[in-house]
Amino acid sequence: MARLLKFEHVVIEALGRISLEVATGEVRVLQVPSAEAQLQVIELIVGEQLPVQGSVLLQGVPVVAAQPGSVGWVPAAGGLISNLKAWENVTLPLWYHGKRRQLSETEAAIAVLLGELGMPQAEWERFMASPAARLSPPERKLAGLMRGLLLEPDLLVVDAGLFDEVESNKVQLWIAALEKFVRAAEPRAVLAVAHAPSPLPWTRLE
Amino acid sequence: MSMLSGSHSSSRRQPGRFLRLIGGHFRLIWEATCRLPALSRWPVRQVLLKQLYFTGTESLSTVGVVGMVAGLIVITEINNLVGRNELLTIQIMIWILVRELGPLLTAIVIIGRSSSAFASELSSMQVNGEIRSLRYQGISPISYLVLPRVLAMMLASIALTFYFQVVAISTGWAVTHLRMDIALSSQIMNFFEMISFNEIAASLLKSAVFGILVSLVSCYHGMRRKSAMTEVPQAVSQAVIRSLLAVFVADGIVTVLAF
Repeated sequence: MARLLKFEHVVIEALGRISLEVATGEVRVLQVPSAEAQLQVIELIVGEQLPVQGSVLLQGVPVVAAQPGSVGWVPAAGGLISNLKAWENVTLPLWYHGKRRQLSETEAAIAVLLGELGMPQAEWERFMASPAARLSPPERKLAGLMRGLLLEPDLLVVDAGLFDEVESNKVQLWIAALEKFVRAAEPRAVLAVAHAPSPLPWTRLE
Repeated sequence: MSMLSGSHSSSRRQPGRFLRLIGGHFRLIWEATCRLPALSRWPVRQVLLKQLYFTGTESLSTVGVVGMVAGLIVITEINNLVGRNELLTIQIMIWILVRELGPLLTAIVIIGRSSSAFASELSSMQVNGEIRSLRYQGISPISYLVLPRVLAMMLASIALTFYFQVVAISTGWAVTHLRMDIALSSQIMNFFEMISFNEIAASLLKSAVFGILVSLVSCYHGMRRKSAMTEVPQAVSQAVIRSLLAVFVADGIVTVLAF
């Protein structure tokens, strides 16, 4: 399998020196000892921070030079913009990065995601039209996950805290949706980053 | 002794702090200008339209009322001062309403309405981690939040100033007609003969500069790193006070240079 993400002797203040690889088609969990280390790892992957030593590569090129929108991010609490509606939040990175499809195509993709992620059809309209501030915490998490999946990045980074305090049947649906996302096209991978022991069923990165 | 030395070091820090503040504003406007091509992105244009509606359209009634009352007050004082001297009345009206009060009072309305709103909205986003969330998704907060606000406020300021002047001058004509019995048609004709391109251009320049300054100061204070909600009211009050200061200083400079 082709290598998608590579940490090459990267020195992280809260973690020490790490090297890791995530290949195309993989769904992996990276467990780190603290929230601080988790933040630093995520910032390195999304290109917000440059490594002091070593390199972070996405498909062989430094992640900061990667195509915009090639790394997606799903925060634990959804990370929504509170003055935007759920619909605007979900489509924001997609349209900002110029991945805009026909409106009908986007709506169809969102409808498929809503179904797969366990949202009852009767709730779709209310959910998508609600301002982020009026959504419940699990709904915000769901919108954040949808936003990441809809962007269709090469690498989707997920804060493992996303699955906390969500009904277990929904967690199973979300896990299935992430696994389906990885299988649906190439090159794709999902990396969940956890700072506490995580019940996620995916292989841990050593 | 320690208190004295403390106050000395504090006063020594003041110029440095002031320069950092000015430098921060210049950096922000430079970064926003460099990101003008981001307007080709649909979500950025959406924010621009929303902000135009918020700062421009929703301020129309307030600016209209302020313009009408300002026109009434100014023309009453002019009438009391110069009596039935029509040409002098119009000249003073141009000096006060077109050159000065139009851009200045519009800027004050915008500061009261939008400056505080920009600063509190951006500060809350900063504290709630929403700006960090944007950056993690590869969305530049300068492109998505600052650029459309600066542009929208500049355009709204120009349009609202023009609207203020139309309302204030129309009120002035009506009041002069009623109090002094001077024909409206004569006032209108004399007004357009007396007003110069320079006066209109300076007025538009002032309103554009005020719009840019107010939005810049508000966004700067909103975007500054904060760790708690208690810092939001401080950011809002600093944004309002410093916007007012910036507008008055800029007004003085443009007036001296243009007239």
